[in-house]
Amino acid sequence: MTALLEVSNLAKAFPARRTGFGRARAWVHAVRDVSFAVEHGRTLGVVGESGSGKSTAARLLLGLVRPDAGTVRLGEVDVLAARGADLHALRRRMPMVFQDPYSSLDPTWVVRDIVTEPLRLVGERSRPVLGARAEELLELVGLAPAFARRYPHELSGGQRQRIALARALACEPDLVVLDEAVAALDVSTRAGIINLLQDLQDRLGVGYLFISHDLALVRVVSHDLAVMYLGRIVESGPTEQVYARPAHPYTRALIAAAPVPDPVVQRARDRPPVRGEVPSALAVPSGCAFHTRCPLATDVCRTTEPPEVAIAPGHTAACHHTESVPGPRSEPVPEPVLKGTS
Amino acid sequence: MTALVEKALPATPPESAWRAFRRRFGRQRLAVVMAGVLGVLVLIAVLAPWITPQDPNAQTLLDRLDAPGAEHWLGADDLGRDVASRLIVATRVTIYAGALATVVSMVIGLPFGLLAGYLRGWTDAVLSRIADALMAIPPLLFAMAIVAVLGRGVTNAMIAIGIVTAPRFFRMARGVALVIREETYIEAARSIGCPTSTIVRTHVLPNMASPLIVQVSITMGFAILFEAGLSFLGLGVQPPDASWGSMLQRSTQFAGEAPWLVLLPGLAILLTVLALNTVGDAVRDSVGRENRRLV
Amino acid sequence: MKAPVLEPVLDVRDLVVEVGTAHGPLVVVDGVSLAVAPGETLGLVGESGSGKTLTALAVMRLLGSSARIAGGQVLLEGTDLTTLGVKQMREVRGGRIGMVFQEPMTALDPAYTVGEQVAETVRRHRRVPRKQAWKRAVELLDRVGIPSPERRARDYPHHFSGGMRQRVVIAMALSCDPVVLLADEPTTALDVTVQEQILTLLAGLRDESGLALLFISHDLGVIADICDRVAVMYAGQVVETAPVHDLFAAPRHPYTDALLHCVPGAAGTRLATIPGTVPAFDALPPGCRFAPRCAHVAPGCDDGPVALEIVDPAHRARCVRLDELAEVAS
Repeated sequence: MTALLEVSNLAKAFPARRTGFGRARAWVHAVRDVSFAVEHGRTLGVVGESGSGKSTAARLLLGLVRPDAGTVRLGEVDVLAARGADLHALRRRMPMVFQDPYSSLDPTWVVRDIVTEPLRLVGERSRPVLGARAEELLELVGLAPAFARRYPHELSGGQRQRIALARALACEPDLVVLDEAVAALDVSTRAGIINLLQDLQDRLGVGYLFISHDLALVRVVSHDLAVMYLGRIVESGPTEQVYARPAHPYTRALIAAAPVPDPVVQRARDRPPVRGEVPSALAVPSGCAFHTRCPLATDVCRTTEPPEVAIAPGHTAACHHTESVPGPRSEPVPEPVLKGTS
Repeated sequence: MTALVEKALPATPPESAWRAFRRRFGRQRLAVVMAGVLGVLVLIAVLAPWITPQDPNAQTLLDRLDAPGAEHWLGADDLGRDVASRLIVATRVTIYAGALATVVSMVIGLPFGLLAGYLRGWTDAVLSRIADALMAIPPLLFAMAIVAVLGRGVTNAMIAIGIVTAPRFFRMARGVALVIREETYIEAARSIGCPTSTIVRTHVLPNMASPLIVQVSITMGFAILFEAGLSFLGLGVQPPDASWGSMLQRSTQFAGEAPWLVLLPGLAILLTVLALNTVGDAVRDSVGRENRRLV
Repeated sequence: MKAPVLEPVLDVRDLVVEVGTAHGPLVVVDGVSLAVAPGETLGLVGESGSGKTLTALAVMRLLGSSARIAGGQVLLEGTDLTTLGVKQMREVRGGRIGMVFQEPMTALDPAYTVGEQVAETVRRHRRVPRKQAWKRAVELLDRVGIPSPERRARDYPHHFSGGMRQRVVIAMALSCDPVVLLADEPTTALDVTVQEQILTLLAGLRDESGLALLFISHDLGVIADICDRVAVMYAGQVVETAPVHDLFAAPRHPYTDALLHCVPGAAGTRLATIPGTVPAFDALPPGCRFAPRCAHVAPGCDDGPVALEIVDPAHRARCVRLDELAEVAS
């Protein structure tokens, strides 16, 4: 079976400072050689901190930003080769839901018009049809039909995010790209949206690309996981496999740093002081980009970009030192000591 | 199915956008009065031919420079014409002139401004330079040149004024479009395959409603002042027709003997421009959260 | 965890904050009482609209023009801050109370070097020569863990990463040896690996100098990490306050309980949710404000305002069915 979405060797650098003649003097390497696949009806979680390029990657695959290199295939179709109306139609097969529910809905539109916008784009004009579809879509995301006549500013963050999701679903998509879609929401609201996403997947068989900085959240929703650091995927595999046996030191650092909402567990965790921050994407470190903070770094890490190493079926990590990966969780995982950079 | 169903609507039933606008506008007393003034002026302009107490062009030389009184409520001018009647017909000319210049200005400036701001890059660079060049032309001089080519008259003069003021609309539209294009709802529209033209028409334009209203009111006031200036120079309205500007022009030489001839049209101009600006500002302050952010 | 033995340095009593609206004033912080002792961390948890940030702003008298303190006292070492004049209050802010906010970039002026900005806060409260203030600034930058502080003090904020900027803000907050540090979501804008560093720094500073730390956050993981006691806010009220271990192990208010269950656990598990939304302040339920969303709601819940009941000397909860629910649980 072919994957629903297949992304290969995607790369994008943005010009940063420019000279007086408009030529770029420096480049922000937002995405460097990223490949992944999303299967039908499954969820791929993409985790990374700021500057990891995860949001840029999402925009690249919809062609919202033109990549410098790489291919994106949705089913059998080459997305990046499409232009004009063809590209627009392809985007509707994998629409996006954005992080900020307060700015992702046009404040001058009522909810009915917002959720049916994709239908009008494909030529539906009949008001009764649009009205009926709006009610169906609201029902689908757990909102009462009366919301149809409201403006976004009357709604809470969670309600708005449901509206944004309804708009995406109006496209009858194969895949929904969720870019930090629940990051701005309160804990209780977020849980409702997460459950809704899972219900919709069960019911409609839609695939998700779930982009988040929150590892605990990604663990709950994703079948597969990709960890990004400075524009590259450093580790990927089935979520539980990666969690049980994180092979890349960065993945281990991320797992160790996420606070656990239980004071007994949280305070008992042996967490050596973590130092250093993600370097600027303007000057990506040579070799393995993580070597500046990595406890395992050796000379080879500073000079040579690590290859992808298979850890288990479907589980790979880009690290020179995967042989030092400890076994499954039953053995104590030595937490990495991150060295300072600044 | 969905475990958490959000049936709860906001607690307060929504005030319609229009009612909320009226409530907020109503709190600004001066603006309400000024809106009333504008309403009356428009009414006068529309009804002008039927409500003049006397024939505005009838010359009664015996009444020359009559002071305001029973015969002529607001006095008579140097040719003995009834000032009240002339002011009324002049209202029509003045409002026509202001509206014409504003419409021309907006029709030229707005679309190009939207394009420049939304597309940026070369389009923006070229259009902005043209706008800058247009801005550098003194409006009065340009209007004189146009009138010299196309002939005298309010219409030609006001088209000229519309052209030179178009960069104001251009700059406003460009500036606002630059802000709006960065909004997530624009990216959201792109992500569901909305074509650029549709985005500009359905998302960018409605979100600039309130700065647009302000710009319209300012430009209208500006155009009325220019009409007065042009008529003062004899390039606008042609005798025996009257505009406030031309009345002012004729009367300056009698300012000593008949000050009302200067004061009345001057006050009319002042009041109208003031009313336009006050109402424009109040409208801006009264638009709801739907599109307040950009003002 | 034991109840604080020391006298609280910051003691907020029955604080009421009103916000002016078109339809008259609305009470958005309703009778909030909090106390923090030296060396102690009190966590203030709540979702958006719970009033936690307004409480903090009221303590600092930074409410702005639309909101005002309508009742209660804010005692700092026995002085009621609500009675102070504007000038005296300015002395307190950044003097006896240091502040750290969510967004480090907005707290720093891009036009000045960080050393100048820290030295400036020193000089605002103490009459010291420029040179001495600069020396103190470098010391402070060193204390918050900025490497090679002499050199970095000459850099501008945009040369700093998010975590380093937050360290600078903390250095500014510490510049006059405050007794209370008020931190409003200080790590929310930061990456997880950096968040951990900042939390460690704050805890270290607290222990070193006996700071009373009032820590506001929506993140239960962070609260579990750093706080000694926790106050949970909902719809403008404190609904439960307890030592951190008690609160997480045996929450007594249904809202706290529900909130703790909303947090993601293992893969494939379904998250618990709280139905409905936080009530608007102009449409609060007559009795318990959580009643419309509560899984344990009973007829008595709507009868009228609910008081904070004592569970044990250090633990209080605002629930009518406190005893009944405890029996069900045991």
